[in-house]
This record gives sequence, C-alpha cells and structure tokens, in this order.
Amino acid sequence: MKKIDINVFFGRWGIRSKGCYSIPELRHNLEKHKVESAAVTSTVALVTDTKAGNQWLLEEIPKNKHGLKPAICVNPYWGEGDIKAFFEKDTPLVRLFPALHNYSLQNEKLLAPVLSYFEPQKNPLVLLTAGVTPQFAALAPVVGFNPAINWPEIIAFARGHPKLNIVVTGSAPEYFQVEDFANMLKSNPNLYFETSCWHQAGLLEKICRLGCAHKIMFGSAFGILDMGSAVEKIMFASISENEKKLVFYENAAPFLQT
Amino acid sequence: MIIDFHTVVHPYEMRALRYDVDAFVGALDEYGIARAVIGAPFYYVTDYKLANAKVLCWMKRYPDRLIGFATINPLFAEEAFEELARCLDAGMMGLGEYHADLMDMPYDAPLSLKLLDKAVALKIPVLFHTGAKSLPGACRVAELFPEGKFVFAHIGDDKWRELLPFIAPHRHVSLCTSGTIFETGYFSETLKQVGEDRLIYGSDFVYIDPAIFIGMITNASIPGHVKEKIFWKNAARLLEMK
Repeated sequence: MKKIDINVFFGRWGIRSKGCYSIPELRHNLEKHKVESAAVTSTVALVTDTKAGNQWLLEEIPKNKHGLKPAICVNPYWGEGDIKAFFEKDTPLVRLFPALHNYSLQNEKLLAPVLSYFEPQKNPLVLLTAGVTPQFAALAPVVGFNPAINWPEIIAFARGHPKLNIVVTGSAPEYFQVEDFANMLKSNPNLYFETSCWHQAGLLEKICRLGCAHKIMFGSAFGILDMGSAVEKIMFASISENEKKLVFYENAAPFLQT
Repeated sequence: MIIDFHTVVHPYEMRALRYDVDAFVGALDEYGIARAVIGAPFYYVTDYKLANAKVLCWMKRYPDRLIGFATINPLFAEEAFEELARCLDAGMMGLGEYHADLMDMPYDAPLSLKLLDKAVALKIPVLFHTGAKSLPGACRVAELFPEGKFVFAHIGDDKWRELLPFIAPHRHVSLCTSGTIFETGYFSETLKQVGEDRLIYGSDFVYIDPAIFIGMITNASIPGHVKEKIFWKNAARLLEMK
C-alpha cells in the first residue's frame, strides 16, 4: 500500500532518541516502509535555530529529492527577512509551533507576514504542532513553553484562514472526546490531524466509524519516534482498505503534489 | 574589570531573541564586561556538535573576549569524548553549561559520570546548570569528584536555600550567580555560607540582563576587594588566566 508520511524529522535529537541525520538513512526507512513521499522538518529549526535549521534542510533535500518535501519551520517573531528567504525557494509546506515559540494563533498581526506569503499559494499546507512527544513535554518547564495548544484556538485559526489547509500534528483526542472531535473535523473542512501521537487503542477505528477517515493523515514523527510502529498501528486497525488508503496516501497526496 | 562566567550564544527561539557575534560583543561592551564564557546548551535538545561549531566560530572572531566552553552530550558515548578533545584542542577551556534538564539525563547517570570523570582528569572547569530537577544529581557528583573544578550555575535556582548548606563544605565547588534568582538575601546569604573565594559573577546573557547582577554585586555592602574577586578574580583563577 502506497504511503505518504506527513510528519518526519531530520536532524539529531539529543534527548534519548537516536534521531535521523543523514538523507540515506531517511531514504532507507522510507523505502523499507514503502513511503513514497514525506514532509520533513529540521529538528534544529524546530527547537534551537529556525534559520540555520531550515537552511540546512533546504540544502540537503534538493540534493536528494526522491519524494522528500521540506516543511519550513517558521517562527513569526523573526519577521519578514527570514520568511522571504524561505519562500523564494518555493517552499511547499510550513510548520508552525506556537506553543514552543510562545505566540497565540489568534495574534493576527504577528502571523500576517507569514500568511500573506503563504496563503495565496496553490494548496497551501500548514503543519501545526499542537502537542509534543512525552520526552519533549518533559522539557516544557525547562525551555519555558506550554506543551499543548487547545482546540478552540485551532478552530478559530482554521475558520479565520479558510484557504489554508491545516494538519494538526503531535496531538490526539482522548477516547471520551472522540464524538466532539469528529464534529470539529466535519465542521472545519480545512482541518486535518495526523497520527503520530495516536497511541490509544481503538481511536482510529472510532474516528473512521464516525465518517472522518478523509480527515486523517499518516504521520510517524520518524526521527523522534519509530516509523515501523507508526505504520503497523494503521495496518492493524480494523478499518476498511479504502479507509487505510485515505489515511496512508490519498488525503495527503494533493498537498504534496504526488 | 568583569568576567562573565555564564553567557549563551544561541538564539532563544522561544523568547524571540537573536544576537549575532558582533551584537553580542557590543552588548558586553555596554555592560563593561571584558571577557565572557560562552556556551550553547539548548543544542543538547538537537545536535550538540552544532553548538560547538558555533562557539568556535564566535571565539575565532573575538579571541580576546570570548572563552568557549564545550557542549558535550554523553548520550553519544565515544563520539562525545572525541568531540570534547576536538573542542579543547581548538581552544575551548571547559565544559558547559552542562545541562541535565536539556539533555534529559541526570548528572549521576552512568554515561554522564564517564564524561565527568574525563573532565576531571583533564582538569577543566565544568559549569553545571542547577535547578530543582537537576540538584540531586549535581550534589551527588560534587561528592563523587572531590578533585573536580566544578561551578554550579544559578546556585540551585529556586532551591538555593537547600543547596547552600550542602555545598558549603565542598570547597572544590564554586557557585555562579547566573542571573535567574532575584530574591532578597540570595547573594548575601550565598556569600556568607561559601565565602568570597567561591562566588563568581555570571549573567546568563542573552537570556537575562547582565545589569541585574552587576547591580546586585555593585550595591552590596561588601569591601571592594571582595567585589573584585566575584567580578573576575575567582573566574580568572579557575580558568588559569594570566
């Protein structure tokens, strides 16, 4: 079954995880799991230096195209200088991490320079990191951030920017919230979630039964988490073959121009 | 004369702070800081080697102003030892800010102990981050390595009252003000308990304004020669500067 991984990390991850910091290693993992294309974010860009991390990513990926799409991490506080440089390179994807970078999605004035470049593009896709892995959450009080942003803020952002397609990453509903979660997805056509932090048994099945298979994309958080387990939890899910195709590939394909 | 024993070179993405090396040294000039120890601990979260590349680059530009300390992640075992050797060969003078919280490993974990053992054998100073989470490990390594040239940044942070009576008899451990605690009594009580030879000025710039502790020390009711020790002489001794 063909796959697109919407949530992959490139670069070292010094807290426990081995990380993935060579393109051949990344390619090997993608091929092993038959992942045709992946949206890749630099770990360095995410945490320590957006500009340096993004530049490194853009230098590495054109040399090894093969289905890898750079997801540029944007810290809107750095202003137009950084953003322009990224968009001049025809960046197809951006990642926002408001919790880590300490801003609200409702801060329109701050976000306007980013969105004014990005919103007019064809099929613009924003990876919106709403939560983080447990190991990274442990750093929240050290680094000084709130490890999660809430649904109302995400909904307001999605409704305020209907031309943007938004994939919420690193976040999963609790099982008792699933019906509200499905209603949120149905009433916001530009809102999607990816599966890297969906660890709860039966969650994907229930979302699919509630008619939201077309709103979920496969994400592994490879580079931090294991790709094999991310693949298998969808392979083992009691959902139809057609729903698996949607989750693994078809939902993300239009945005990654595959 | 001021030596700032605790400054940070990397951008704080989460605080929207970004200094290039010229702006950084320009800021040191404004505060009257002659020399500064620089490190890049946030790279523990991602790639510690990038931290060292950046610190070395800054040191080369201002060799008379910036004293590089290495960022070494013991999780990377042998490679980490090689990186430490490379950094010291290139002119770095210590290890730090060694940061248990950012590397998510206690100071007394086996891999960390191996690295500290190496640092002690090399007789280089180690600047430890100390705070609520990392304090037990820091105290344990203070006991395990009586020959270490250890400096505890932040003086335990909000646990400073707990740290002081423990650390007072460990005379090989110096304490660095490191900017983050502004409580009444923090400075005077530290000085009283550990004495004038083990207290070192550090700001935690670019994160914290260096003026805060310059002000606290300058305005303290202590003799001028003690202020000199805290502002630079104790640091110079630890760094074996002529």
